[in-house]
Amino acid sequence: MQEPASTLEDTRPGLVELAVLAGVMLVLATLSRFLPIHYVFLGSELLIAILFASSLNLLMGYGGMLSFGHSAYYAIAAYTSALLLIRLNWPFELAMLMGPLMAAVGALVFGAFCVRAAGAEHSAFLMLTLAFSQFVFAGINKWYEVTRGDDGISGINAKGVLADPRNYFLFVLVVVLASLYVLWRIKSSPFGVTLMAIRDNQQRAEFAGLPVRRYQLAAFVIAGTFAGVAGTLYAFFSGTISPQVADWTAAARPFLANSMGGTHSFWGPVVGVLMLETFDAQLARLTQHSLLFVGILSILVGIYMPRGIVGVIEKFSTALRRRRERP
Amino acid sequence: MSQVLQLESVDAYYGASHVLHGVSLSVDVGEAVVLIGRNGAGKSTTMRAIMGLTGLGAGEMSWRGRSIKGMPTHRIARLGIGLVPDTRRMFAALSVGENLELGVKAPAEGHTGRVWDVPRVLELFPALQSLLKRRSGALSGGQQQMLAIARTLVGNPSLLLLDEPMEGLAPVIVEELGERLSALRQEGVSMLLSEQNLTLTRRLADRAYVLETGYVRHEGTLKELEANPQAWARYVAF
Repeated sequence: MQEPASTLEDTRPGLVELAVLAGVMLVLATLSRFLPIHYVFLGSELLIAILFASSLNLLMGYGGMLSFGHSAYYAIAAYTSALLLIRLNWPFELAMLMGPLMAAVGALVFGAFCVRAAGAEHSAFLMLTLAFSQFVFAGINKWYEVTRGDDGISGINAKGVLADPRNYFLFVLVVVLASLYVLWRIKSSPFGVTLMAIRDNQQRAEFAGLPVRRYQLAAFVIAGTFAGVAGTLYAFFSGTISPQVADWTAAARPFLANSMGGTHSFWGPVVGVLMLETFDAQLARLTQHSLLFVGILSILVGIYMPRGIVGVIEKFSTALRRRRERP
Repeated sequence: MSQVLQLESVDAYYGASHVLHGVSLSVDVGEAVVLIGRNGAGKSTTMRAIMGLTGLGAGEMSWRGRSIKGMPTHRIARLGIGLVPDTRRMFAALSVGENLELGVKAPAEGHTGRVWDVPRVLELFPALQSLLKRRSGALSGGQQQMLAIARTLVGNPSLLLLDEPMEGLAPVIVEELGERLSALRQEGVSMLLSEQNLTLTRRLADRAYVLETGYVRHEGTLKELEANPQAWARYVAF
């Protein structure tokens, strides 16, 4: 059959977008060469958090699946890389590659159960994802012989050029921007559009003949894989990991960041992470319970800005454009 | 006889309540059949049951002689049954063009007649052409209904299920949509529709089933029904 003419817009990035991306990369890379090392560490941490939150947004924002257990895949990858490196003395490059791969496998297995609960009723999916992440947390925490439980694992270091934190920042920068680019292409692809259609009206997607569960599972695996990329990057960044990377508070962070930034926009997680981490870092100087206040803040954002900060910005810019266009 | 769809003594439930009682009906190739009945008679439920969206009890349901009872909805859709539901909410965040692209399916086995794609559907509904980039949530009721039918058509259904397609539409739109549906009928698309608009029903349908509180009370050609003043008064004229 002849391929029907497409009415979809061409969403490939233009030269302008690519130039902006290259510019951002160049500026950050240059800055990282001479800024105090403290800022370089902060930069790596933020980039990793941004990738983690953006991977979750494929589920939350585009798939309408509110996962409260995304830390599971981050942790699976971090521990896979760490254990292969430390316990089995694998070369660090291979250990790095295996992290996201195992996260994908984990997401495939858990996701097969979770997506059965995906739908208009968010709570079932949310609880199921939380349960699986607690399962991972308990596994890491209790299996002392392998994971060293609460003691955690240390000495997770890259070798060669990447052993230098400034070089490692460049590595994180390239991997995160490349991952964001892939995620952006995915959300603009027919697959991404289908995912949004399922989010808007799952039943209608079904009687349009779409295998809804398969799309949801694919999204779950992609999101888990990129969470895994973030997890592995984090393990080598931090050098030390503990079961806390799998805890529910670790799952709450990207969730809160996305809610604050705005889940309906690709840039929501970026803005959300920057906001959340700044806010959290400032509060942490004053109180031990900074996450509590972050929670309160995100509830306020949820009530007064349901589309997040980016949603508010978009609203204002649309209003401004309309006013300008008016004769 | 070449039936595409057959329901035999189908029972359907919404949770604990028994909604369809032994409903039997059939649609032949190229035929248009109408379900008549008051609100709550079970017309929408019958259509949802055919799509596998409503839990079924006893009874048998087959498509081209093959049982489709208990089959998942998306597979029933892929066999060539296209539902245009009475709630015409779109994938609101997507554009009209994206909505159409999502519906595109190659014709299923046994499909006869015309093969639809997006440009052909736009010929049938030229009003949608200029709206392709528009967000579908921002369309008027009539435009949404045209889009709902257009999107179902690009899936190349052999049988269209139309649940009250004219409900709540302005008379001029009803007229236009009626013409489009007649044109589709000429193309040989089988239809099962529920409709309270009698002018349209008369123009489109060959046969009718009258539903009342989940039972089939009467079946036959529309002419027979009209010739039976008692039945007409009881089931149709309201």
